[in-house]
Amino acid sequence: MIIKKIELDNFMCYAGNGNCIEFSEGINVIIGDNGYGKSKLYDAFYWVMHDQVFSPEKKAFETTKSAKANLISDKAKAEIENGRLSAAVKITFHNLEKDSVYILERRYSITVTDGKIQEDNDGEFTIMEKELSYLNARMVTDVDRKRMIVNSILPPQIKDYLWFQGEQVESIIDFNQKDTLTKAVNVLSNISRYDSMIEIAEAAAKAAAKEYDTDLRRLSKDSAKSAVLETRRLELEKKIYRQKEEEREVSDNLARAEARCEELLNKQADAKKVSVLQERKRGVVGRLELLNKELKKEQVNFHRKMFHSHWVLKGTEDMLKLYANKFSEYEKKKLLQEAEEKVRKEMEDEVDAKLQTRLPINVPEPNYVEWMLEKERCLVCDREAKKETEAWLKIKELLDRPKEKKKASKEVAVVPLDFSGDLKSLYQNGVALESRIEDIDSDINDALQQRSNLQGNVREVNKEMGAIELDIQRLLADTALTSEGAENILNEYSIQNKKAKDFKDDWSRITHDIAESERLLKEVNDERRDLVTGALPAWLVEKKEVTSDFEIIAKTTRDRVFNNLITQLEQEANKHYQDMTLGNKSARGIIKLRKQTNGNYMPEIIDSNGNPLLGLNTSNIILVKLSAIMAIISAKGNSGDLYTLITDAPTSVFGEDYTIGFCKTISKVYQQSIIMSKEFYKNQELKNELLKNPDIKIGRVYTITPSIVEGERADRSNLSTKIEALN
Amino acid sequence: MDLLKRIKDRAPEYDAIHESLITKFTLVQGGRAGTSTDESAWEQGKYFSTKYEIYMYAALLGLKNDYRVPFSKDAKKEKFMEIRSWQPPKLVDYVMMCLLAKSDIDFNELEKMEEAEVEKQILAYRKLLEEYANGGFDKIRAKMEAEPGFFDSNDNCFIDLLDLK
Repeated sequence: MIIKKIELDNFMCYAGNGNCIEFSEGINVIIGDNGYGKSKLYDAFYWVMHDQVFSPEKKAFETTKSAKANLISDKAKAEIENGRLSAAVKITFHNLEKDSVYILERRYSITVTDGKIQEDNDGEFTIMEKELSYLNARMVTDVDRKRMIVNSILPPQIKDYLWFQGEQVESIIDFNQKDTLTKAVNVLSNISRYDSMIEIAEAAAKAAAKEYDTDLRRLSKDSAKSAVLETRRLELEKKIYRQKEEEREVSDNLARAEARCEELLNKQADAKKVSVLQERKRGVVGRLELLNKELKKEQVNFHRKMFHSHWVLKGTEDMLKLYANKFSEYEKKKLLQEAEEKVRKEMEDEVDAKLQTRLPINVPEPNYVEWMLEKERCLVCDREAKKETEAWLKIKELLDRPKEKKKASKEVAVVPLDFSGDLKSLYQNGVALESRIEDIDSDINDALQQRSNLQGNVREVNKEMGAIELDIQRLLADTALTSEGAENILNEYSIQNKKAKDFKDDWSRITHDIAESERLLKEVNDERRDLVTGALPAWLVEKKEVTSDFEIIAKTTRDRVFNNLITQLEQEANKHYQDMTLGNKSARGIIKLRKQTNGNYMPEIIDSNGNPLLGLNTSNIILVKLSAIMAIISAKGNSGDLYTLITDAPTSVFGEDYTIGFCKTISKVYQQSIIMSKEFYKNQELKNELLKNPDIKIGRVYTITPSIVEGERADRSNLSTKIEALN
Repeated sequence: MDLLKRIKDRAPEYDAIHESLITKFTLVQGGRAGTSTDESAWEQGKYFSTKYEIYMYAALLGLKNDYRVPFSKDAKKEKFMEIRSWQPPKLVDYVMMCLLAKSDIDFNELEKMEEAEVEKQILAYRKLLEEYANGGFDKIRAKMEAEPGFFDSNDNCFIDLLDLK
């Protein structure tokens, strides 16, 4: 059965009537960027089959009853003032073998009165059927027939593996859930049939044992003792039952912890790498902080040195010279003046000394001289000295000179001003700074060099940090981890490891206890048998043995069948996994479904030597899950030929590197697939390969483009979607 | 009589038009004696901790370039700290020395002068200091106008400016 076409009328962003996409066998690809309408197309398929659409706001599917008018194009709603408006999606299925056709249509309507919307409570679902494609279609009215048709198109037990969105892949196959694999195995073969067989065998064995016990009691030579042993036996059996229950619980816990450990172990290598890088980053950040602090200090000091180290005096040498000259002139002149003064003084003293010798000894000079002036006669040489004559004035001079001298000495004592001390200290200060000024240039250069070295170091460390940061980002992108997540993984791994060890200890203790109880039970049974007088009927012994064997056979058969199916699943999954990873350089390995203590199976990827590969990234894990999904379909024989795979953005969760491998693989597994993808939108090379690669059985390829780009969709009343066929 | 003491007792003035320039580069409040550290001052883009630092810087810039600008008649003058409080003392004395070297004062004659005349000389000396500082401020202002990025994107601006010719 393949899908011939889908027709959309006013369904969400597919405004207007006549939006039709035709499909053929092989891979049909709808190419569009984010927000172009891919998911709405997926919704259209899903809506027809399940009466539900995915609500991105609620992150869940919602029914027509709650989605209501949201199903109808905003453009169509904006354009109608009065009347009835419907969103309708019609899918035409074609059974190629029988040439029969089914047309499934879902419709939801509203009534608009003066722009006011009145919503219907539910939609309508119709199925048209044509026994041969060229005949006229007739409506299927019988409810059971309708259900049968829907189930034949998309069987409920495998619908999860046929129609899914990329982000659902993780949850569809959750190996931590014990029933995930059972569910998958049930798709391959009805394993529950074997479970019923086990139930019957257990009941038969129990009934035979009871009969046998009754006879044992009847034939006992010591009925009292036999009764005691019987009670003991029942107690022990109850105990063993409880212990086995406990064992099951512990082994479940152990399996869960081991599975979690396994899962974390894959991520642990990445987490460790992230953690090591984070640690290195912390070290570098610390170094950078110190260096920056030092650099800042150097910067501040650099400028403070303008005053502390007198850099501000740079280039002022000339002024010191200028002052030195001026000061030297001043000093010279001052010395000269002082010398002249000294000479003058000495001369005066000399004259005075000479004058003094001409006066009589022991004569009170002033009186004697005044007497001479009065007499107008020199009493020394006894010559006349008339008043105001030269001789008289000379004598008078003898009287005046000491007074003048006295007066002069007084004047000398009051020196006008003396700044020589200050002027000298300025000069000395200048001279003291001279050598510092000479060194300023080399001082500045040294400081600049020092700072440049520090800046160089800062640059280096920044570079180192950039590289680490880049490594971290790459690692985080590859592993889909966050820095915090990496730390959590390491912590959780050690917790789960400890738990697994504890559960293992518990498990050993319980199995030991069970063995002990079983030994005691055997002793009791032997003792009971020893009390028997006469022979037990042979048929009863045989019945007991046969039913017991039957129970064992039923259980082992179920295990064998289950294990065979698991092996088949593993082989199929590996085939797809190898196909998908072909042409990709990253580590691939082989998928191994490893049996756990509780009978569950966990996938791991091993190398050719059987050693588990660690450090798997998200892409690997998703690929394993996709392989498992495809294996469930392909291992069932012709399932892939019977049903169409419809998936929205399956490749968005792993890298573009795997996209072509994925396309090749699904072309092998499914007769028809419909894929919505953005990978081919941006990568022209990938698109060319899709269309030309001979290993890909290509069907129809379309691009879808919205009339308004996503960023400008505040008003969606004009939004429609253009569908363009590429081949 | 102590000449230096008399000079240093004076508080020189600057033209109020340079106020914004001074504020831009000087930690006018909370300086070294206040709450601000060298580091935080630096972070605020302040190269000088006190007004006397930028004033000395300006005066030396003016002196080195022999560029002094007399105050215009209607200039509004701003007074600040007396020279005796400026730091560091050696640097202050050097500035005083430079100004004495540049002044017309004849030391020998000065010593012979009457008190009133000495006072006149000291006033002239202070005016000379103010004019050279004014010249220095003018140089900084001119550089800012001609090359605005010089001070914004270069931590060494005031060191580099010492080489300004």
